[in-house]
Formats: sequence, C-alpha cells, structure tokens
Amino acid sequence: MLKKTQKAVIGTLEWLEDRTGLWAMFGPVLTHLAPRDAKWWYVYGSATLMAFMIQVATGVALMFSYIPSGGQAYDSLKYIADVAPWGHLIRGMHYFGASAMILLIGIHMGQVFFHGSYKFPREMNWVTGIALLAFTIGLGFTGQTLRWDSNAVWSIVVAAEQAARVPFIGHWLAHFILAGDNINGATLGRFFTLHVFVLPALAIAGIGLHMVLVMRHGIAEMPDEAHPVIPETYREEYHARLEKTGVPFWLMAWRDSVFSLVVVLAVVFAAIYFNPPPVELPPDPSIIETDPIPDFYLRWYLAVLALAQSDMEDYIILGAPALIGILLFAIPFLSSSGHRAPSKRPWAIVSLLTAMLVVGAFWIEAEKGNWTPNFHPKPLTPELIGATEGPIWHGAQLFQEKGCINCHSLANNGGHRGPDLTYVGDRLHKDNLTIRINMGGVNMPAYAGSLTGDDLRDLISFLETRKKKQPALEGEAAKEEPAKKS
Amino acid sequence: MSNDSSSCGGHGHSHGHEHTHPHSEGGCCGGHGHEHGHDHDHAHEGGCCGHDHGGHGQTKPLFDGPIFKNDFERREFLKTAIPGAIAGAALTIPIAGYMVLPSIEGNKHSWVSVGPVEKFVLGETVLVELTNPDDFSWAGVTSKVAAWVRYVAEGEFIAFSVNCSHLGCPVRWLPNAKLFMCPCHGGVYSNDGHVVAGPPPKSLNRYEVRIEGGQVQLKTQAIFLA
Ligand code: FES
Repeated sequence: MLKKTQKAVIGTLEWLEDRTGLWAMFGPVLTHLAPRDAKWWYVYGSATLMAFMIQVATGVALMFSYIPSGGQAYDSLKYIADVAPWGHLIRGMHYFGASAMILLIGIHMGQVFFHGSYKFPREMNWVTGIALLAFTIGLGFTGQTLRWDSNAVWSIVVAAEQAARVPFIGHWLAHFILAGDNINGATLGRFFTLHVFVLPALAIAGIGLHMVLVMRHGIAEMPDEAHPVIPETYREEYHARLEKTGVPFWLMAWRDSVFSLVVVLAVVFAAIYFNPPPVELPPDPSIIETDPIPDFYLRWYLAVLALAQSDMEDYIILGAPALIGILLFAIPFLSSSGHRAPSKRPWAIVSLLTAMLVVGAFWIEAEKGNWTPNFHPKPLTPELIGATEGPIWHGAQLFQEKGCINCHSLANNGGHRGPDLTYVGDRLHKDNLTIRINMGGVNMPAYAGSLTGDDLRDLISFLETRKKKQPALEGEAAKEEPAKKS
Repeated sequence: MSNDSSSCGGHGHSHGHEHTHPHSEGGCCGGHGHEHGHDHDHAHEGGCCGHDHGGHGQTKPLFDGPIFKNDFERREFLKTAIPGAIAGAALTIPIAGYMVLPSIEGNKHSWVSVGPVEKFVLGETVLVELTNPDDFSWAGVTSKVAAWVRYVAEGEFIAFSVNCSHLGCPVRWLPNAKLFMCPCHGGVYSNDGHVVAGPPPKSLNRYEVRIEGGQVQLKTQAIFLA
C-alpha cells in the first residue's frame, strides 16, 4: 500500500517534470555549487529580496483600500492609517519594509564592493544591481508621494522645479511630472502608476536578471590574497576550486533563511512598536505651513541640495545625481581584475569609507536642517533678555519682530540659518553690528531701510549685552545689572 | 541567455558531472531533445550551462562572422522583425501620445474672485486661496492654490505667488519684519517681492490682479518654473 502510494507520487512528479521541465529549470538554483566560505557575509542579497517580497505583499494589501484619486487618496489613506483593522500595522510594515530594503541594499552593495566581488566576470551583476538601486529609490520617492498629504504635494513641486532646470526640455519635463502646469487632479495618477506598476515591473525584471547572472557566474568566493582575478584563467580556477571544495547551495541556504526571518520579524515588530511617518495635512497646495522633506533614507540627499546653494547650484542639482550614477555604474569597469582582497585594495577601501563618511555627514546635516529658518521660535524670556523694559528690552522685541530670531539663535532659542548670537557681544562691537545689520549679507537681508535709527540703536544695545561673562554672576545679581542700565 | 535554459541541465543531469572540458561540441551539456541546427552554433557558445560552466568556451568568439550568413537569413530576419517593429510602433504611438499630450497642451486660465475689496485692509498682505476652475471634478483640494495679496493703495493690489523662485516651496509672510521667508533654504524677499537674501535667483512671481464688480480677482497661472 505504502509502496503503491510512493510509486504513484513519484510517477506524478515525473510526469509533471516531463511535461513542465520545472526542476530542470530551477533545480540548479538549489543544487549548484557555492563556495564553502560563503557564510554570514552573503546573506544581505537574499534578505533584500525578502524585503522586496514584503513590499509586494503589503503593497497589494494596501491597494485593497487605497483610492488613487487626487480628491480621495488622502481620506483613504487616513482610513488605512487610523480606522481599518490592522491598517496601521500593514502601513507600518510597508514603510519599515521600504526602509529595510534600502538599508539592506546599502549593506549588500558595501559588502560586494568591500570584497571586490564586482570584478570579472561579475561586472554585469554589479550593473544590474545599480539599476535595481535606482528603481528602489524611485519606488521610495513615489511611495512617499502616495501618502498624498501636504508634504507629498510640495515634494512634487520641488521635484518639478528641479526637473525644470534640465536644459532645453526642463519645462516640459516639469509639466510632465505635474501632469499639467501646476499640481492638479491628474498629478497623483502619475506617481501611483509609477509606484504600483512601472517600477515594480522593472524591479522584478531586474531581480530576475540579477539572479540569472548570479547563477551564470556563480557565487563569488571570499577574497583571497593568493587568488587575484586574472580574467584569462579566473573561470577555470574558480570552477576547479568549486569542484573540489564547493557545497550545494541548498546546504548553505539556511543562513539566508535565518537572516531573512530576522528581517521579517524586525519589520513586523517595528510596525507594531513604532509609527510610520504621519499622514500630514491634506494635499491642499493653499496650505503653506509646510516644509517638504523626504523620509529618512533620502534625507541625506536633501542636505546635498540644500548645502549646494551657490552659483554652482544648477550644476550640482543636475550634475550630482548624474555623476553619482555614472560613477556607480562605472565601478566594475574601472577595476575589473586584480586583487579582490581588501588588504590589497587600500584605495578602494578608502573610497568606501569616504563615501560612507560623506553620506553620514550629509545625513547629520539633514537631521539638523540648519538651512531652514525657525518659524515658531519660543518667545525670549525676561531672564534671557536680562531686562523687562528700556532699550535692551525693546531691542529684544525687535530681534523677534523683525525676523532676526527666525535665523539666529540665542541660547538655543531661534533658528540656525545664520550664526548663533548667544555671545555676539563678545565677538562684535557696535560698529560691526551696525554695518552687518544695515548692509546684510548673502544670506541676510539688509535692514537699513526697515529699521529706524532708534530701533537700530536699541537692537544693538540688546545684542551688545549678549556676552559670555556677565559682569555679575547668575541669579539676582544678573537681574539687577540690567535694571541699573534702564 | 536563452540558450542556457533551453539546452542545459537535461533530465537527470546533476550538477556534479564530470563535464569540464572547455571546448565541448555545440550541443552543450548533452541535454537531450536538443535540436538546434548547426548553422546556429555561434549563438550557443560561452555561457552554455550557465552556472557551473559559465566561462567555458571563451576561446571561441560569440559571433565568429557576419550575423547573417546569406540573403536568405537576412530576409527571414526582416520577415520577423518588420511586422514586430510596426506592431510596436502601432502600440507605442497612441500610448505615448495619451501620456504626454495633456502636459504639452497646457491648461486654461481664468479670473477667479478672492473676495470683496472691503475685506482687504490697506497696506496689509494677506494669504488668499483660489481654486482652479479648470481642474478635474475629482481633484478635490488639490486644485487649490494660495497667493499673497497686498492692498497697496486705493484700487491697487499686488498678488504674489507663494512659490519661492528657488525650488518652489511656499514662502511665508512675516508681517512685523515685512519680509517673505522661505522654509526650505531660507530665501528672503522684501515686501515688494525682491530677493534680499538666500538662494532664490529671482523675485517672487506675481499674479495678474483686477477689480471686477467690487471683487478682487486673480488670474490663475502656471506654477513658476526657474
Ligand atoms: S525653495 Fe525657497 S529658498 Fe529654496
């Protein structure tokens, strides 16, 4: 009986294989030989794929409720976020899944670069990987716009304005992005279609090609100083070594499986315990209380653009992404042979560290966001001003009314666009202060026309008292001191 | 790559076989049911059997001669390719046109009332909302835009676009300082819209304004692009 069943099952499987050839096609994925030392360093690619699958699954789920209409998307998203059973969870998983995917791509790229795995014959593995990176970033940005809140519409305005700087076709491009000559009812459809159809299709095709290439060239070994890449002999040596010491892939795959599980659990837990970015004000372009910023993984690039302000700006806005893109695509062609071992590639490692530091530095700058004026500074307290009436008090009021405080801070009150003025009295004297306030600077308006002589005098007397060493110590003494003056 | 899947890894053919000779004959890996004619050998070289023999056969170039060996082949190729290309064009042109034309055609612009003259205070700058009447019925609040309107003198109004001339962020009016300030990168404009600080390259853009039947009216317009 048992034997009969066994026979029937095997017979069915054989029939299925004969008619479909599925095992012949996909069996080698499991059985091909992988280098014995492909261990925990190698789990990031499969984990990225897992993150992508989370995105597809949660994305499909979200689509059950999302309405891609300019007038209704916001409400439907509010419904998903606040009302729908488990909607908050699924939206969170989609957000944290996206974050995980971007981070994992970064780690995966870093590992491949660190180990020189992009070298001959795997140049196109790297190139398809960079294309996938581009699609993923595109998915990230378009996904943020589907939130269809004030941040989304203003991000699209900024994107259109950047596109408008492209020579010749800029304005047309901007209108194409906007689906008209301003934000309108058709704008959302573009981003929706890109996010839900076009980019996922490209990503799936790209992932397929990427994996075909992994199969074609085999999994790279851990770098070994003794085996630099010599294109003429590399393949034969690689296969010879694999035949000797390789292990069928499916015997190695448990690590990928375990790490992917960690990723899934991390995404689920993050979605439960943390909140995705809030759905902000409605997508009403007449609401101007907004400062469009992208989600954290794109924020460092915002800092690049914000800090690029100069005559070079146009070149940086358009040139920086082009240059980064070209450089990334070019990497395997700049050094396609020779050593893979990090110890023999000091300059590659220096470049990797530099890239990480630069991105990190921009990230920190972006978190500070110092180029943004502070529109809601706290009012200066009498303690900070050191007076409750008289010219110093009046100067402090002017400091707030005339907009100084939006860009300059005093003891951490105010903006950081301009220099901190907490101790400006130590640095600048009356004459310098007068000149600066009257004449302004590149990033500061000239106030000569908008302050009366008396106002200017009071403002300066207020600023002159901003000194590190108050004549008296803190406490009552400090309070008495200005009182004397007034 | 197509040759990989069609010709490799025939049935019962496990990866561990001894087949390591680099210059095996055209039919890779000896998979059965392999019927490609020998004319097409060239398309089967490097890359046969993908993964475990990826690089073998490198010494023989992929294309060792003209792609089409004779007029017959060329004609056969064109017989396939030309209908395909026409089909592609027949599909692409309407689709691309549908996607692109609306953004070339441009939008209609018209005068929109933003309130009676009495509502405005002489010398003050206020935020007004206007709804683009040309927008789709499903646009909802997305068809709204804002403008900063100042009542300059009897019968005279100025209306500024809220979009910063730098990268389009909405500028805010600081009434005491009499400045427009941009939240994105700190561009600052004077009360007449001139740049006084920061990155913006140009003055604030303006709307056309008129007074019609006691109503202040603005003409909708395209977003200002640098
Ligand atoms: S967008 Fe206004 S300063 Fe950059």
